[in-house]
Amino acid sequence: MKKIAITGGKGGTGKSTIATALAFELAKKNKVLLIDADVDCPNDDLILGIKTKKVKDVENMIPKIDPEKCIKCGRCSEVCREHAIVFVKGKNPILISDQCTGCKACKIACPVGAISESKQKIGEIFIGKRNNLHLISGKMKPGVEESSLIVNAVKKYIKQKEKNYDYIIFDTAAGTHCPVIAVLLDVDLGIAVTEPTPLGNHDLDLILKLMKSIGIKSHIVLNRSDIADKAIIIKTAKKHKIKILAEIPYSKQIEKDYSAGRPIGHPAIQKIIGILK
Amino acid sequence: MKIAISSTGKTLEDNVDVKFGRCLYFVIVEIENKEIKEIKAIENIAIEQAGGAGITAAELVANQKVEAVISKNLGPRAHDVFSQLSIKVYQGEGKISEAVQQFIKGELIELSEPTGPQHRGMEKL
Repeated sequence: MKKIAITGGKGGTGKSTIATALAFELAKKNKVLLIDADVDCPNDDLILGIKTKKVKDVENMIPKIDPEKCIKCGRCSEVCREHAIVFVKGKNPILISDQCTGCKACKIACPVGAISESKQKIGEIFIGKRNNLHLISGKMKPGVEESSLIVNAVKKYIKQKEKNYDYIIFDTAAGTHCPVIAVLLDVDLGIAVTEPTPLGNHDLDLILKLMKSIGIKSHIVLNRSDIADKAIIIKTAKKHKIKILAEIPYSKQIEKDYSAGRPIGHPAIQKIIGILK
Repeated sequence: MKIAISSTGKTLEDNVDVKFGRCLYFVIVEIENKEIKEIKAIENIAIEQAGGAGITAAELVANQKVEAVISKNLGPRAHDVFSQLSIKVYQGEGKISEAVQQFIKGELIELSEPTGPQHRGMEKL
């Protein structure tokens, strides 16, 4: 079983397009699990035309403060990094539950044990399938502070099922922050999808640095490779001693497939499959 | 009773700041028998925060033992803090001295809902 992350730094470079196409192609001969880890806006189900159903709520701990036991010392508020507990002298502390990430520091800090654990819903997990291709999507409740909590819940959910698959493909969010890191910590290989623009190049450099610091092997797929001079990407690739694995020139057909919600077919996908074996 | 006003400066001659969590100052006014008895200003330390400014600002103001707040706008988290503490928020604008007089006369409207989404105060209003 191999775990691959499709990432890239910049948004809109084609991460989901590549992830769904790769999963679709691999599933012709293998058992494949695609994980939509872009939990803020999961939409691989739309590209693949897979109807998903909810299997689980993702819950997170929130503190419950016992007003009888509380000695109004304010320690819980002091240790809360998210400032989710407001303390006004002489009054019981107040919880702003939307702001809470469930770290439990308040519970540990409370000198009189007035804080117990309660739960709040922060997201949902959906599943769906199309023949050998199974899809699991994490979906964050809008407004939740920390999206990596949902990614981690999805990782936990698949733990027992991993052995049933030949390939597990994670489609990550854009950026290099917590929900992306949560995926990269758990894969064998990262594929950075980028485009030959200064923005694509800038964010590619960041994601390659991140993958290096985590210690996973990375490859570059250059999407819309002919819309501008790709020299900047080649330079960044050289700097990181990585070759560009595949290039996908701009094509009306790909745009049409994408707009219609169909996984794209392109020789570049075969090149990616080649390195997975 | 004490009230707090989100302010652009430290005096009654300054204006009600349209922002709450990211206003520059809070003017704290003590009212007794429908007259202003004492005035002081405190700096809003929450303005530097990347997020959660409304919560910090509301906590700052609540610790001044105020019973009411005047601002033009109020975000959802500051609103949450004030409603849990039973501190009433009224919508006011223009010169602080005038807003306070309107408050004393009972002419200001209470803000029972947040006026906008989170992080609104980071924009130029």
